[in-house]
Amino acid sequence: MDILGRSALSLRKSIKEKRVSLKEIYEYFLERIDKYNSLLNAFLTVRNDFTKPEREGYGYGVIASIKDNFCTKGIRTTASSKVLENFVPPYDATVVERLKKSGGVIIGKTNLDAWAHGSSTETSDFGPTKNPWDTTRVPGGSSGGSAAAVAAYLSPVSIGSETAGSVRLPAAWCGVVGFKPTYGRISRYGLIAMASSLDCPGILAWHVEDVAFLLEILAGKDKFDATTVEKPVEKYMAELENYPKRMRIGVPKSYLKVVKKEVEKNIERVARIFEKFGWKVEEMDLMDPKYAISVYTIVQRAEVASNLARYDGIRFGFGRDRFGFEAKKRIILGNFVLSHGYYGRYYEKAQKVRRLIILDFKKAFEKYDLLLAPVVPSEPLKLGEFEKYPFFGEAMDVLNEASSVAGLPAISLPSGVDKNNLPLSFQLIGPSFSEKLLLQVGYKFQKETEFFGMREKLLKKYP
Amino acid sequence: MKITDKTLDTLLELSGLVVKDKKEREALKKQLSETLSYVENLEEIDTEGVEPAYFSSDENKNQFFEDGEENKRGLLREEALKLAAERYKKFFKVKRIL
Amino acid sequence: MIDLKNLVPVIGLEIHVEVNTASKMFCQCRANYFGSEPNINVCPVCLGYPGALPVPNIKAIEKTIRLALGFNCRVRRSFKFDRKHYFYPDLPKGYQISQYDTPIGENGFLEVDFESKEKVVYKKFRIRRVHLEEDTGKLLHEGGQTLIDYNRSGVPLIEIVTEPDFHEVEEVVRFVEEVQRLVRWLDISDADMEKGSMRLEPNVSLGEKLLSGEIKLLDYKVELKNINSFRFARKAVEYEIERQRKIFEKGEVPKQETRGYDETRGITFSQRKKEAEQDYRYFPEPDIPRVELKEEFVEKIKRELPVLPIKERRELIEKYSLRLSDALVLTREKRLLDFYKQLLKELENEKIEKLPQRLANAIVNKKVKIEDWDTEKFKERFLQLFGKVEEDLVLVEKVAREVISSFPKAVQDFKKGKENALMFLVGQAMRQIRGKAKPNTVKGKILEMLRS
Repeated sequence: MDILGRSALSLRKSIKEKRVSLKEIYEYFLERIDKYNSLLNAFLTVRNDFTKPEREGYGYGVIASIKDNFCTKGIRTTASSKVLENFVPPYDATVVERLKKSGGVIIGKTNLDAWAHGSSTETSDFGPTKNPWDTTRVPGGSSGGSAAAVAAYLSPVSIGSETAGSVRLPAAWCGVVGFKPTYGRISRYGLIAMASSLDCPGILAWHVEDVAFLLEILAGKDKFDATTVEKPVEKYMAELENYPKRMRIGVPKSYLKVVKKEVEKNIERVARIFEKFGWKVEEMDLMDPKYAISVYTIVQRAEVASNLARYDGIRFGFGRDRFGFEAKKRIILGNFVLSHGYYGRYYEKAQKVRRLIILDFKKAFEKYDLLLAPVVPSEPLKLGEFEKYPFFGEAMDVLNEASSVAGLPAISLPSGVDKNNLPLSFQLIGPSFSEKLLLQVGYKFQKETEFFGMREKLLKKYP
Repeated sequence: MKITDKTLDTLLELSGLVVKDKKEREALKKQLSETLSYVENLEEIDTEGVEPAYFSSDENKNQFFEDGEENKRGLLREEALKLAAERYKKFFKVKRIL
Repeated sequence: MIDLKNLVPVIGLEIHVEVNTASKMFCQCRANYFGSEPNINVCPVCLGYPGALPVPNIKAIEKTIRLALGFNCRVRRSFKFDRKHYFYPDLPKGYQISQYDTPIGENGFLEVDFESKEKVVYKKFRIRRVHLEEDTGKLLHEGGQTLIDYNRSGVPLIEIVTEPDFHEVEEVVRFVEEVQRLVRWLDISDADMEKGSMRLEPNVSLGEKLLSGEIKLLDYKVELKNINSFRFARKAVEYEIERQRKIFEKGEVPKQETRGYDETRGITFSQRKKEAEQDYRYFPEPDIPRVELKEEFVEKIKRELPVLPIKERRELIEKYSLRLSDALVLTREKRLLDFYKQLLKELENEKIEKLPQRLANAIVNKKVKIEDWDTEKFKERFLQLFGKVEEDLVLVEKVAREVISSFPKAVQDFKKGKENALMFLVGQAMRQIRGKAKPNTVKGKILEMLRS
């Protein structure tokens, strides 16, 4: 049976039709992981023993990998840090529980930048993950392991997390679909906290329908996470094909200014495709993203410094002497902006500008249904290249920080390769709780372009 | 903004971190200074009369739980102590502090 | 130069009470941990595990509002929680979820009644703020190690801060006692200092009393910790006032610091220096959305607020001419006051002189025991003691004789010297006499017969 590259949903269908068993599919992926993980280092922990799920619910037949900053009961969870090298949580994160309850299985934990601090997965204490398109390059981060796992088809879908670009950026650099929901749409309970007011669990896949499916399972109010919202979860799957006939899409000029020529050209190409669908696309003004970089840097560092204070090695894990340089840097800066005398000038100021960014988007969405923008300023960097950039993570995420601080949903979609055979992509940013629309547009784009054959192209390298 | 050794030491104490290596200290001071210099671009924006947005949305409010609800997350003592680096009988343990 | 004669104590109080909710403040573990085995009352939230998140207990908020109203505070309808950062092994997250600049209650007062030379004096002490936070775990220091029990971690805690309105130790002790009463009256906490469900940290300094009567605060204050009984509170504050006075006598000013109370030696000793330099880096708790209470929510609590104990006492004193000391006993518990008032009503028509005082006396001095809060039983016994009883002396003699012949063993025991035996006989007799004679009369008759 031909499995390579198929969507999780299509595999689930075959399992339901008894053409293949869940166990066989699971072992198929285990084989691939065994074959390619030493090269890619996408997985930190692999569950080599197949255990049949407790029940055959809506999600039965789905096999997912999950970023190693989600607590999985009985399975080592490290956040890619030596501080948690031996931590085996006695409880599941809510997204893990929901997946399991619906009959889904987790095949392994994927690599990330330690504590999700980074945009390349190079700050992992367990070695970097390689970009499957070119293993001398980084996959992006912090959900680099998830993106690489999906791209090389080591798992059909992966659950990652995004604070500002951590799903969108690696998805773009690995040429797969990356989805970040509205803040509060999916529960953070059990997600090792980085920046509490920004963290969002996200989904990576080769197929938009897989994202829609998984979103239905994972989304919704969680009484263990007060920041989740009461809004009912929509029927993303059933509505997937009902894309709007008329739409007005804005392209923020200020975002195009900070990217390489080829990236800009790619956006223009996508805009033409959207126009062929009958949608209106035009350039518009949005606040200069450089301010969002500052807002994000300050708020995130402050929340990180606070959230990492619990790692004292007393109740679990190891002591604070095991924090890597990147983590130390962020904790120190975070405490600086919160400290007496600087709080008003930095932290409070950043939160005020954050309000202005939120209003800026609100205004934009009064006129436009969605915004079309690049995801990353450049093609994937080579390993080690990041050190050249001061403040690298933030610079790479310049196009994602504003929508993140505003809590908005977005989808990153692959749209071909550049002259060096590296993936190109674009993102759509929507107003709060417009997940349905983003998925509809993503699905339409996928049907019409089949992502320019990128999946087939890449998987030829990973037979 | 320039970061002095004294500031760095205060921050290290607040952060519960110890960094004695000179090279690392210099790298931290430098990166801290650079980052602070960049984020000072926020001063270009007028925020007079603007309320800070501690949450990305103000709509979610009044999230509580009802007192006396069943505890579905209680842990057994052994489950918890098993994860600890040091334990003594039924307690977590650290070196004496007082 | 400060004139030592004009130095007066200036004391402010910080009181913490553990709230008697069923669940902890941010998780569903039990809030009542007293007497539990260590570390059995825990979950990922109160242990500060990675990924755990807090969700506030609405009842704890309700009870805090109740207390704030009891203190005549302005109650906020809209408030938030904040993170307060510091490292200590009993603080799992490395920060405590508390309230910084939006405390639930502010600018209130507590009025306290004092007995002074046959009069009752009323003094008001100002409450600066009342806020809600979570408790820490407990540390046990032994040998070369410190042991940690997290049962208490996350229990809801109300912090009460007063203005430095206290100038005498008596005021401090009486005030804290009144807070204890109020908190129990309003069903907020059992406020037991020995158990640790009420904790006191007085800030003690000496100020200069000026000619105008105003007290000039000097620029320091000493925080006292580790006081776990009223007795020690008095001793610690007294000791500290003396210690500071001696420093002034030397021409110096006491250092601003935190001092612990050593109960075995009866002294205070220096603990953490530079308390003021702790930078807690407060910022709004991002995991908990703002609280914005509907007006009706607070109004309902206001409506259901019982009359405060001091007001009840005032009524007892002014309406019934009770002594303050008796009023204090009667208002120790709402149940007891309700019992008293009920009895007053039921005994209205018995034409007993000075009924309110006699009744109070009977209860306070345990002349009549309260059994199962049964007013019938109590009334019966009370009337036997104080009621106008038409004594049937012929019946008394008859029953006395009967009882003596029916219980020879008791008679013998009494003759051997056992006093209880007499009471037994009286009891048996009273059963038959049923209100037709007073116990003392019956006792007298039986004694007379036994002695003859």
